[in-house]
Amino acid sequence: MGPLYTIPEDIQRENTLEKKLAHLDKIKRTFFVYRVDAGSCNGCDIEIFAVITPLWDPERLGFKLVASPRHADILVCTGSVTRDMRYPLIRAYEAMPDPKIVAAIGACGCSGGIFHDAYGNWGGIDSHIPVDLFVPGCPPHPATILQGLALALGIVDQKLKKTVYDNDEGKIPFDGTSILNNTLFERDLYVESKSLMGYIHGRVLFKKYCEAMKTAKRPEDASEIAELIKHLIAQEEDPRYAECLRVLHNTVYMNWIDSMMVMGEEGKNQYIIKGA
Amino acid sequence: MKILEFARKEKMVTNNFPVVPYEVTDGFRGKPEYTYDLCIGCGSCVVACPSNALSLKKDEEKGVARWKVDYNRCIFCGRCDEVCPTRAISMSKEYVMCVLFDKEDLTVTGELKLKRCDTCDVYFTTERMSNYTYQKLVSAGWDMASIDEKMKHLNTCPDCRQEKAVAVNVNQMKKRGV
Repeated sequence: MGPLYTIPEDIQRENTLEKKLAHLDKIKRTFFVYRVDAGSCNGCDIEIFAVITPLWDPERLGFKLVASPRHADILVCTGSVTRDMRYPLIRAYEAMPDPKIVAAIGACGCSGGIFHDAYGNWGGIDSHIPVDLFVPGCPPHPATILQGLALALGIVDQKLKKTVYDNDEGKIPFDGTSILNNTLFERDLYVESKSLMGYIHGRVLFKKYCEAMKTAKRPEDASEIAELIKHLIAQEEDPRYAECLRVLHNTVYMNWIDSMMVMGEEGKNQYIIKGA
Repeated sequence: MKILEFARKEKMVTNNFPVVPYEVTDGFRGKPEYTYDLCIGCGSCVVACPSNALSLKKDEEKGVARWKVDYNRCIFCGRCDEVCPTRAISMSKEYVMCVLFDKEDLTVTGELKLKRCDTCDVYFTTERMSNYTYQKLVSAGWDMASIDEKMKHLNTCPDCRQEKAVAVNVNQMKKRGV
């Protein structure tokens, strides 16, 4: 199968990089932006509307949304191209005056995004018309969109470059240190804190518990750890962390200590922290 | 005129964005940052990625596994951050990531050396992954007496390991006369 759409020669001739840069240099007026929704989920469009609110105000940089592609300098496209919106997209592209600058907004516009292998999806914007500016994000933050438009104008510089790392020395990011001389304890603690509070807060919880344990002289001493955790709970401002610290101590730590030195039910009950 | 009076009373709300960086809140899911030195090439992020923005491919000629992230396709869900065992990939607060003309500028590639199987001489895992597994097992109270026997098992690819296990089982069955 050949290409879906070949750009006519006269458009190709008028849209070289030199001509675009010359256009940027000699333009002495506002940039007119025309927006095409080529089959997006509306997330990116909502963010574009967020950009044109007074909070971000792109008009101070010289961007103005217009209602017709005949007036436009920049074509802002959102969404992965669906079968039905492909032709209107190409019509809008051809209707623009030369030189045309095209921006693809969002993950779908850049490459097809999460819908890249769906049946009704004909790929990103760049598989149909040439794209100059890629703005990734799902949806992109208003700041990202504004930065992209400013980048197209040359106000700011591009930050990202293609990066390839190829100096593998086989070093590993793990040294095998453990509080109770067995990393399975850390694993159990981490799994339990993740299941209690999710991965973001669970990591904080895990860190809090481990740091408290590291200050102990003998981490195997249940009475010392129980005192430390009680102190930590009393200091904790967030009641969710306080409760989860208590649960962690009563389940994971006490089970480990019990398996290391058999304490029995009564011995265990001494060091269990009771809730409020 | 009423609007002007109102505007004078209120402060200016517009962000001075491209000049002054915009501060995002805590928990903002920005660009997933890749730290090459932490990556072991286990591939759990590749499995977790819902939009296939991550890929891990074997390059037999060069003997490396090529881990690649394509921010064009990333939907910033944070699943890779959730599953990464070493936090080699973690969500940052970076939102400035637009590029001009070349899509490839939005990719990051990490090449990890591959390791050959002792039996069949086929690449089967990365060197870092192998070292990491060994270190994890040692620190989890592994029996160091029979270390040589166990290392043989660790340096064999899954296919060979399967064949070996079947052969052992068949031999045992023959002995029992099944």
